[in-house]
This record gives sequence, structure tokens and C-alpha cells, in this order.
Amino acid sequence: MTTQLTRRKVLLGALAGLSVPVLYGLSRMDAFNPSTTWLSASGSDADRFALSFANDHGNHGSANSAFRGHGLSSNPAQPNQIVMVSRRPGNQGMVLNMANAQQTTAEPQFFQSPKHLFMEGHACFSADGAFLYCSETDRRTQKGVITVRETQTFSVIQELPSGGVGPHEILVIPNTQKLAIANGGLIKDEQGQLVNGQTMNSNVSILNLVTGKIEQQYKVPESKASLRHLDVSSDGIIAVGIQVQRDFMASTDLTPLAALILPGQGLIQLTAPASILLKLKDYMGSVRINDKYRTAAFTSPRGDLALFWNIDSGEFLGHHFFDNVCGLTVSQDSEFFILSNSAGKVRQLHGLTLKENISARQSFPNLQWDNHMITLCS
Amino acid sequence: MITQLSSWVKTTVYTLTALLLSACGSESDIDQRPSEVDLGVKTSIEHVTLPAVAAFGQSAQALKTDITNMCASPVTDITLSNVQQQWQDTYRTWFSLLPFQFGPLVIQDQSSDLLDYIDVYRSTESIVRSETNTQFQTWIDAQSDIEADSLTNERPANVGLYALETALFTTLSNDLVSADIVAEFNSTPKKCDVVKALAYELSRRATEVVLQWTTDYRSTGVPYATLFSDNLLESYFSALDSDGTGKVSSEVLIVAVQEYLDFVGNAALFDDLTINSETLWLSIKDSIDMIESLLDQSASTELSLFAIMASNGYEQDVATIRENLVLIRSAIDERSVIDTQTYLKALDGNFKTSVIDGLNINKGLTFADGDS
Repeated sequence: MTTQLTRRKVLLGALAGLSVPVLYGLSRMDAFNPSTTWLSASGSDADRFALSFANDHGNHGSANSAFRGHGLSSNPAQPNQIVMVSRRPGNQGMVLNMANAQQTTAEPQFFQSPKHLFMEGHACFSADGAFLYCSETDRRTQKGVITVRETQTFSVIQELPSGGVGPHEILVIPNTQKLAIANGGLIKDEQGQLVNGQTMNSNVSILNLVTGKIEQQYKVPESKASLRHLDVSSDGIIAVGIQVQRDFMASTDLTPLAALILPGQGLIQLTAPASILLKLKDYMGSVRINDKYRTAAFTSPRGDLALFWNIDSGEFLGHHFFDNVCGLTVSQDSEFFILSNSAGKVRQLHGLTLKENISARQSFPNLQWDNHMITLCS
Repeated sequence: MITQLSSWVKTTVYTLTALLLSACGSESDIDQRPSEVDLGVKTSIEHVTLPAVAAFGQSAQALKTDITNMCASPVTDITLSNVQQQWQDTYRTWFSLLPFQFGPLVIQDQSSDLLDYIDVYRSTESIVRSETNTQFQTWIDAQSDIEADSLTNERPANVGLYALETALFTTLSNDLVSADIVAEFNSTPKKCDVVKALAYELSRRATEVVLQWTTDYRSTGVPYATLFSDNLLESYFSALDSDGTGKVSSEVLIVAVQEYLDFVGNAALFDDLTINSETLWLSIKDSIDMIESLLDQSASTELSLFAIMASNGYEQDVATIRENLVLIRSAIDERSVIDTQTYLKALDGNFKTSVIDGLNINKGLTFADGDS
């Protein structure tokens, strides 16, 4: 216990003004309404790396992680249990319980990758909360791996193939025992430089979690497109966000950065006016589907843009300019898309009209929201 | 588990955490006052940008007047030379404004940004003078008269500074000899109508730039200088509009200057823009002087951007930037393309890192996804 407190720098960190894990058992916690709370990795340097959260009332807090986090996931069986994993090529994960003062398992729990693996930035729970899946890479072979962890100690109990290289975002397809995996296709050296730009090969793979076999794979025509992010609708439509390695492309053509994988139909690329696509600078960050309004949202921090498509018709619905926007989630009641940026700002757009609720704008200058955001569901 | 902690630790932790939670307030607790960088930017806009805007507007207006006067009588070597000199002066004022490729310069004008109708080379990095002269010939051969506003709907390649340069410094058959140009003006009166119309369009757009910066930006009733300096754009424009992005002005300014340096450091300007190459050298030098003034307003304020960088511990970077500015000027004085572009690239690099870091500008944590 003392080791964990020291690691979290509770006393020294607090005195030095660093963010520290929120400790539970205090009456102020009733200000955090779990149904309206959003969570994201935050911070730009080692002293500030954290899992941070905020709510509709403007309250916010952080739990120091000591590593730069990336993707987050909440346990469907215990929605207050949140996991945040390292940004590539880290090797840590953090488990935080957002329960209120009555809960006793309140302190963050940490886990690590086995030595031969490193994290690729994303994780998700199985539908019953019994397992946590993480996208990782085997250092020895550079092949993508999906680790299966039990959710008591978060130890690895199985390694499955990801179906490609550089697996990034992964999600369980609802009502199935299948995992959608965005294999980005990129191999980087220790300095973070791309080493396989000429031969990169990205895909979305569907992994059968029971058999451990890859059942299907989907690609886009452009070989230098890295399929990195995805979301899945309740009826199995997969929305895919793409980043392009322009330096390795022979042509200067604009490449679609969003796609849908329709059950039984395959992959279709989503189009938008060229003037908008040009602004994206070959880069989509996050993708989220609003099931209620059948809309997929994508963010481009390089383009300062969020874009929206209907997932049934593929129709381009509109855009929203927002400086360095990346974090993207859906409110618990599915009425709004929630967007965040690294300046600590949050905006809400109605899921149907895509009009912003300007009165709901928030600003947390001390929180540099990182790439991805989730909603804490009560 | 908290209950297992020693009582001393528990008390300390509870007290500290209570303090922390009380400190983790709502957004209303956040300081909304402008930062020193905001104030530094405001000073630079006021003392550097606005004068550059005014100078360009005045010069373009003077060019229109001079062309009107030249064409009111038979053109001579002297009257043509005066107009050519005024074109060169206007070009130089333009280069001091070119780094500010945001706001008024990028508002939509017909099918492109306003800037493209003034300087098509900036975005295309291509000029084909023979095609421009062919277009002039087409207008001249057409039966209709060429009025002052006849070229209002022309595409960017056919208007602006470079179209005017072609009309004033070459004949319709691409000849550069002054005597031939003078003779052509006198033998082809409609060529005067072409240059008058081109000057009208340039002056009209230059005036538009001035008005947007100083009086009314996009029908807000507020000058762009105010909206920009006070970071108010987000309050006036919806997020369907790129002005509603919410990007802080300091970042916009520094990135714009960096992109200008990337352009002059890499584009084949010295190969492509050869008619007035001497003016090009002087224009680039003017822009470097302007950029230095942008950073160093120490004569007017302690809040110059250089001073802010130094106070943030970036004194050595400030010194490096000053050295690079000196080297660029020397290279320009020697008319060395290689050295000039080498040092411009170095300064570009300074803007990408030192200036961004030295001014604590949040360039965007989420720029590169998923990798450390």
C-alpha cells in the first residue's frame, strides 16, 4: 500500500502541485455524477500524465498514471471500472474504479505487458467483463498480438493473432464472440521512425475469440492508408478511421479517410467534398458511432475538423471546426456527440442536427485532453 | 485500501485530497485574462501587421492612379518606368503582408481565397507568362470594350500582381524590351484598358484586405485586428466556419509565419519569378525585417515575443534566431539562392520548435496519434 502511495506521489506530488489520484471515501465525490462523466488520457509530460475526467457541472479531476495513456475502456459488467493503456510503445495499463465513497476498491491498479510485448494503445473488455483484450506487438517478430487478460489481476492468459501488423483500436462486435481489429500496418523503430513504409499492409481483421482464428479481413485500395481507429454499431456496422502515409504514396490524390464495413457487404469508402478532405491533411484521429441517430463521427486534429456520415446511407452529413479536436464520445443518453481538444476544451453537438449546444462549452486549461475519450455509463 | 493506511497518512491524505478537490473547481474558476503571449501578439499586430496592411493598400491604390495617369496620354519610356517602379514598390509591400496568410487574406472570394487573386504564385507555385499574354490578347481581340470592372470574375491566374507584372514588363509576344512595350501600348490602346482593369482589381482587393483588418471583418462590425488579438473569433463564428475553430491567435500567427518561411525556403521562386528578380530579393529581405519586428518589439514594450521567450528560459534560442536573421540578410545581400534558402529553412525550423516552445504555445498534443 505504501509502495502504491509513493508511486502515485500522493504527498510530494500534491505539495508540488502535481495531479494525484483521486482518493475515494470523501463527501465531495458526490459532485461526480457517473452518468455525465467523460474520461480521457491527459497531460503532455511525465509529471502530468494522468487519466482525467470531467462532467456536465464543470467538475474535473485526475488520477496520475506516470505513463502517457491512450485508449480507455469501461467494463460492461462494472461500468465504474475503467482501464487506460499506454500509448505505443509503452507497456503499462491502469485500472481505476470511479465508484463513490461507499466503494472500497478505489485505488488505481497497474498492470504490465509481458517482456516480449509492447502496447499499441487500445484495449476493450469482453461483454461479460471477464476478459480484457489489449492490442500489442511482439518485439521479437513485430507481429500484432491480441492479449487476453483475466480481470482480477489483469494477467495475460492468452495471446491471439491480430491478423496483421501494428494493431491499434480493437472492439468486441456486439452480440458476438468476435473482435474487430484495426491493424494499422506500421512498424516503427525505437526512435519512432517508420521502417516499413514501402511495404506497409493495413487491414481490419475480424478475430473469432473462441477459435482464435482470423475470419475476415478488409482493406482499402490505397496501400499507404493505415486503418487505425474504429467503432461498431449495435447491429455490427464498423466505422473505420484512416491515416495516410503520404510520404510513401506515388500519387498526390486525395484519399478517403473514413470507411464503413457493412455486415455481409464489405467495405465502402466514405466521401466528402474535396475542399473538406484537403483540410484533413491525411489524418483522422477518433471515430464514434451514435447508434440512436445512425451517425458516425470522425475527428481530425490536423485538420481541426470533425466530420459526420450516416451509417446506413453513407451520406456525408456535415462538419464542425474545432481546434486540434480529437477526443470523441457519445453522451450516455445518446443525444450528443462530445468532442475534446488538447487545450482542455469540450464541446457538445446534437447527434441528430449536429448543431452545437454552445452554452455547454467547457474549458479546462489545466487538462490537456489526449487522443481519445469515453463516457462513463452508470 | 484506504482503511489500511496509518492514521497519520490517512489524515494527511484526506486533508490534501480535500484541498485538491476544492482546487479542482469548475470552469468559472479558470483565469480568463489574456496571457503575456496574447499581449505580445497584440502588440505585434498593432505595430507590425497593421502598418504592413496599410502600406500594401496605399501602394496598390498608388499603382492604380499611376496606371490611369500613364494611359491618359501616349505612353513614354518615363511614364512606363514610373509605373513599373510603382509595381515594384507594391510588390515589396505585398511580401511584408504575405506571411499573414490567415483572416482577411483567406476569406472566400468567388471560387478561391482572396490571396489567390492577388498572388496566384503563393498557392500554385507556377506562373506561365505566355498563357497570361495569350489571355490578354483574347480580351484585346474581343469586340467588347474593357471597362474598369470587366475582369471582376476572372480566375486568379489572370489577375493580380503577376498578371500586372506580365502586362507592364512584357509585350503580348513575351518580349522584355522596354521600347517594344511602350510601342505596343501606343499601337494597341486596349492594352492600356487591360492594365487599368487589372490595377482596378488589385486595388479593389487590397482595399478589401485593409477594411477587413481595420474596420469590419466579414460583417461582424469588428476589425479583424481586434477579433484576432483578443481571441474573439470563436465567439463570433460558428464551428461550421473555419473562423470558429477556436485556435489561439498566437499559434495561428506563429504557424502562418513558419509556413511562409517554408514557402520562401523551398519554392522555386528564384527560377520562376525572374522578370523582377532584384525586386524579389528586396521583397524577401523586407519580409525578414518584418518578421524580426514581429518578434522583437522591445522598443515599444517589455512584452515582445523575444522577451517572453527569454523570460521562459529560451535566451539561447533567441540568440540563435537573431543569428539566423543576420545570416539570411547577408545571403540576400550576396544574392546567393542556396545560402538564402538554407538559412530560411533554419529559421523555419526555429519557428517550428524554439518559438513554439519558447512561447509555450500548445501546438496540439494529439497531432500524431498513438505513438510516443
